[in-house]
Amino acid sequence: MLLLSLTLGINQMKADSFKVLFVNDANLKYVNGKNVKVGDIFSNVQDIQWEKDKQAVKAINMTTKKQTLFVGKSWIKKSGIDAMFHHRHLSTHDELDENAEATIFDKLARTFEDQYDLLDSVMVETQVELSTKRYFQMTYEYGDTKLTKKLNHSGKNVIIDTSIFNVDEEKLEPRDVMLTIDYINEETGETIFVKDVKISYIPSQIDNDH
Amino acid sequence: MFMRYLKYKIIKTWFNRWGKLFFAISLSLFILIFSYLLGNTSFPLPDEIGLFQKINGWNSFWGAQKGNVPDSLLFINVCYDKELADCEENGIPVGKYVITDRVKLLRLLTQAKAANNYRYIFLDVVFENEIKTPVDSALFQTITSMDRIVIPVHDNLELADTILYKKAANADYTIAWEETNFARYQFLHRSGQAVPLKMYADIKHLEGTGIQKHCGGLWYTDEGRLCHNGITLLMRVRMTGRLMDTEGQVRERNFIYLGADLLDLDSIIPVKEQIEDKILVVGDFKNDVHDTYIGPQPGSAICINAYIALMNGDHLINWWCALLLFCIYTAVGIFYLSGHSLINRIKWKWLKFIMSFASLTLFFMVIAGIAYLFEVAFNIWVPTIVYSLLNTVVQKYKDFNSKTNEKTIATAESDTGN
Repeated sequence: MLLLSLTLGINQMKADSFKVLFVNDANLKYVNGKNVKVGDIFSNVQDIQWEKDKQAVKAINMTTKKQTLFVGKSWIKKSGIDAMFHHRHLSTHDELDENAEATIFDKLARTFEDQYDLLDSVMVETQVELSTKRYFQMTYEYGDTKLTKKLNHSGKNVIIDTSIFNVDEEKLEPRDVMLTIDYINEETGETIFVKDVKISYIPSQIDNDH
Repeated sequence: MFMRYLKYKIIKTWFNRWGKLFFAISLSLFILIFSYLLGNTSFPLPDEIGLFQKINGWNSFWGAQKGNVPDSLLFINVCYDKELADCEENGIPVGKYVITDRVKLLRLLTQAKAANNYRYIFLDVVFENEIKTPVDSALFQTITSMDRIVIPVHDNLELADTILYKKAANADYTIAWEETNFARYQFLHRSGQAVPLKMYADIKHLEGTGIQKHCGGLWYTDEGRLCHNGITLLMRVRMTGRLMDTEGQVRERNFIYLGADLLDLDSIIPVKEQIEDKILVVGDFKNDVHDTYIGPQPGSAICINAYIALMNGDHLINWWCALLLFCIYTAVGIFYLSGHSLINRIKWKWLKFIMSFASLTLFFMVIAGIAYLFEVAFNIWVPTIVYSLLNTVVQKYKDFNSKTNEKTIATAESDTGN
């Protein structure tokens, strides 16, 4: 009975054919030398001449109508001791698949904390590209005035310091403020809201005159 | 005096012979009925899924933990098919909100309606009242004009259009302070059917709500058969990332993306071919994620597991299983009523030592583990509590009796000495 089931299973697998929906390498070829193209039908992963690890073909199983990924490299799945331990991320991001590539929104969402104590410079590491045309911009209210300013950066670190209170060559008295931070990409004209961050200003020297 | 003594002796003998059996049977019936009543509520019991988590952990250890989506299901992820929509609060515009792209949803449903070859559609996208888009009218008309489709609604949530209610069903579950993960699924809510129950009733062409409530929710029936209204849900369909298994060169996908893998590929593989004879489950599997005993799972997958449980008859009372449990409970009851204790029965020292770390819980955990192998969810909480209490009471009574006897003998001996 078991042998019969196995035989039927193998025959079923053999009978499956796959229609190519996407190929990530235009030079990918079948073993017969023809190029793998969208719309082709093939029946086995061995029909393709895999040369690089990252070559991939997205195809649909014409019997089960389920989409399948064919890749150039076999990965080893997580089991044994590795499966017993997991790392948990203490931050808010709802990724189902840890291997999925993070989008710019994911990267921005992970950048800032809710609050910073501004005693001296705060260096915030980012995962996004920073340049003269790609930068973080903050807006805050100071009295009745709404002020907007570029945040300084050094490499991939954004700097939040008391210079945020230097506006138009005027040095304002530092105080607790709520910063609205946006990410600006001047090349694409894109402005992405990142977060509202509370800044608690801590003077470096307390005035004891009172 | 003699007659009173005789009567006492007869009652005591009767109790020793038949009373224990009668009491043990009553206790078994009580546990079975109480477990049934408790199981019909939406509230998860303590450690409802603790054992499942352990079994799942071992499966991961052996590498047996894989994703599995039957061929009859097509999960369609809309996490990357979004648009910005105008948002209102109390009729006042408050800005923009990111929602599922309704133009793409309309394209999918229009093609599905034209083909009419799908098995069922679970459109797990909430159409809230506060959000409006230009295609709403066309989309809602298409939804309401389609056969075999369900959309979710939540308690205290108003849908964007009243016509949607005829295709809507409840998609809520309850957690408790001692069980904060998803564990228990209730099919018939106060507000009506849950999504899986509507699918089940529609697909099986059942009249009414599928499951019938009796005596204000004291018991429930499905086509005349006694059933549960809530069950501890076994996750038969599980999504482990985007691919079923990340081993080997051929990796089946758990789900496809609405735009990239379905609508945009229409010229290569028509949508009507991809959806043929499938149950379509459309949802955001990236952001709508809930903790279950197998780890984070999309809300849509939980609903589909509940639907599969209904189709599998998990909610129906299995009388053979009930009879088996009744016998086990009665045997355990008699054992404890006779004043025995598990540890005292063990003769081998090393086993006694091991068992001293175990308890009655272990016994019921073994039963629950065996039940899991047969895809039956057995909650150990009620029987463990009841028999632990019984054991404590009997052992205390036994200690009290032996101390009283010792005292009587000591008094008698001192009297004789005098």
